[in-house]
Amino acid sequence: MLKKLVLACALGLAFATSTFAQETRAFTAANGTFDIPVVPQRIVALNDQIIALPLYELGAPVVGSAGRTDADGNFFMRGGMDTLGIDYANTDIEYVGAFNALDIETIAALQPDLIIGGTYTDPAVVEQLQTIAPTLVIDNGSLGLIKTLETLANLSGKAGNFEARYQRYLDNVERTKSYIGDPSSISATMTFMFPAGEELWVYRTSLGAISQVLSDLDFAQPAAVAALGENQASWSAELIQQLDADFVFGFYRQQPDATPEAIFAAYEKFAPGWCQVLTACRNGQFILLPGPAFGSTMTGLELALELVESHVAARAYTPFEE
Amino acid sequence: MSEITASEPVRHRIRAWSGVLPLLAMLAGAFLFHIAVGAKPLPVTTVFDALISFDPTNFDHVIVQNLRLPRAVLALVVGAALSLAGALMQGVTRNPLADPGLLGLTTGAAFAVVLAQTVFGVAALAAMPWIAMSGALGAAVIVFFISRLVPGGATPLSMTLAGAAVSAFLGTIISIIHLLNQDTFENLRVWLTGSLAGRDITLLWYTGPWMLIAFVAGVLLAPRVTVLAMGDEVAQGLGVKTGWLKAQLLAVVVVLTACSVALAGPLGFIGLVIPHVVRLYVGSDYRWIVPYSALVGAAYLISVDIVARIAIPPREISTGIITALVGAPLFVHLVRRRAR
Repeated sequence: MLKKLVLACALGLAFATSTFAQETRAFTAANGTFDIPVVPQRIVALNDQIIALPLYELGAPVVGSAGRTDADGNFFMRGGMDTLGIDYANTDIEYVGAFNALDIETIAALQPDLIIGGTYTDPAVVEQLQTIAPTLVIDNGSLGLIKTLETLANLSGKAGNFEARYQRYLDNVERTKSYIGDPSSISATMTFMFPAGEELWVYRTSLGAISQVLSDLDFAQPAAVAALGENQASWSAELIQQLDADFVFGFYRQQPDATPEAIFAAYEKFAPGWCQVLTACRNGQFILLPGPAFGSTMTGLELALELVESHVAARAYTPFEE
Repeated sequence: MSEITASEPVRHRIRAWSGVLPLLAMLAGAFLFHIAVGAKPLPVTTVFDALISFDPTNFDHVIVQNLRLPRAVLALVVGAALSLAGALMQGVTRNPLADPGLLGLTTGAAFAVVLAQTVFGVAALAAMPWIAMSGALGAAVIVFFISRLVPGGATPLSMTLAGAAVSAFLGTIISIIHLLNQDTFENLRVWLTGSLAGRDITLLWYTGPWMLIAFVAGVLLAPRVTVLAMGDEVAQGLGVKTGWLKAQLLAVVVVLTACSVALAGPLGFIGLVIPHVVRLYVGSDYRWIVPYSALVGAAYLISVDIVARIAIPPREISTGIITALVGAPLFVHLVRRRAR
């Protein structure tokens, strides 16, 4: 009996020691400074596209992630299959609710040692989650894509993986620039349209990988877009001529019914005569890119760069003239 | 107590008639102004040319004909419909805070459309008015029965509270549908804020005939609403079949509300605010309140949509946001005044 008691105590002590012995360090996030594991073993991501995918791509141990629900009621990670070929079904990642409707009990059951959310996470929920594990808010909007990826790499102890891949990306940017010649003489507009065709979003910045690529390539923007005070704006159909440029980019495949055909039709519905009005469209330089091109991963960055390179550098195009 | 003279109704009628022409002029002016101004400044001659000799290859003409004109027409129709519906509801329920939104009809119609599109995959334009009507009618019946169950019966207060509860409940169901089906829900996001942007004008072919019948019926029934507003017993004493009249009025309100929701989404506060503004001028006679509400409501929504389009170019604001910004404070003011 005494032996059993001693053994139980020893096991308990060993378990407690392993738990508490995890080396920690101070980390300052948007919501304060926290002690986090130096090498986290069980991370829960409170957003699929912005946090879970980049972490998984870096090789971080993601055990749970917020996600979406499709029309058939199945959970999925937005951009997961498209970008990295992963989803809940073919990984050990557990669904923990939607980013705006998190299942705290499921998160607790996963016994995470680090939880990562964003400014979109309900602050009250963040406070609740602090009782489970250090819960960090990463402000990806103000950090930008690269800094966000760097932060996630730093948090998960995968900085080395990120640095190597980022350097390769920068090298590829220089290669693309060398093909183009003078990238600053090329203008590009980033637009976003849902199949309903009721509003057009125009992005000055912060449209994930594609905006990072265009910025890194030093492409110019139409004056009206460059003058925007905010990152993006819902644009009046009457002013679409202000968006004309050498290249106008849009996106498809951001949702199941966002087929290229549906998105082209949505632009036309939004502004009848869209393609006749914009020289970019008249000359075949209004280009729809697949959804992963605005994702928040290194894979998305590489894809966006390849697509831009092939559309801009690998074919003839008609320059836009005011 | 002042003695009522025979000349008072005559004076009232003259005063009421005197507003018709200025109001029609104001509506026409607002409509033309809506077409003439926008995010892109256009010369008046271009606007005129676009209207009389449309050139589809000229984008300025496209702006006038295909962007501004349909929106102006939709604003006119929806503004008139919601205001007329609100006026009738306030009369029939003797509740100055009644409007299609507060009594759950707007949310009921929106709920039915959301359910049909996201759960059952119904996308046919022709079906939308019918779906919206069934939702609005369902919500109206539920609100009426809930208010009847309350001790004291269907009073203005119990109906308003029941309407608020039903609206909140259906709004929650819409949110749940959103959570369960986020991707396809994206297509309804703008519509749910109440918007005239990018709306399919061909929907008017399906809703227009019903709305026209409802407009005419509303105006024809208006005199009896004045009697009904005095109370059921008084109305019955004057020979009005109150049950039948209420059923007819409910049908008119449901059709106007549902078709408006199908056209522009759940726009709030128009049906509440406009009849009050109209009463300040024409008094409590529904023969005048009803048509005046339609005219003022049309002019109001056209004006609101102008603001939505030109306030902060190149951006556009959803029309529903502006109607709520204007309507909500006024609603609070009305409640406070009534509380006193």
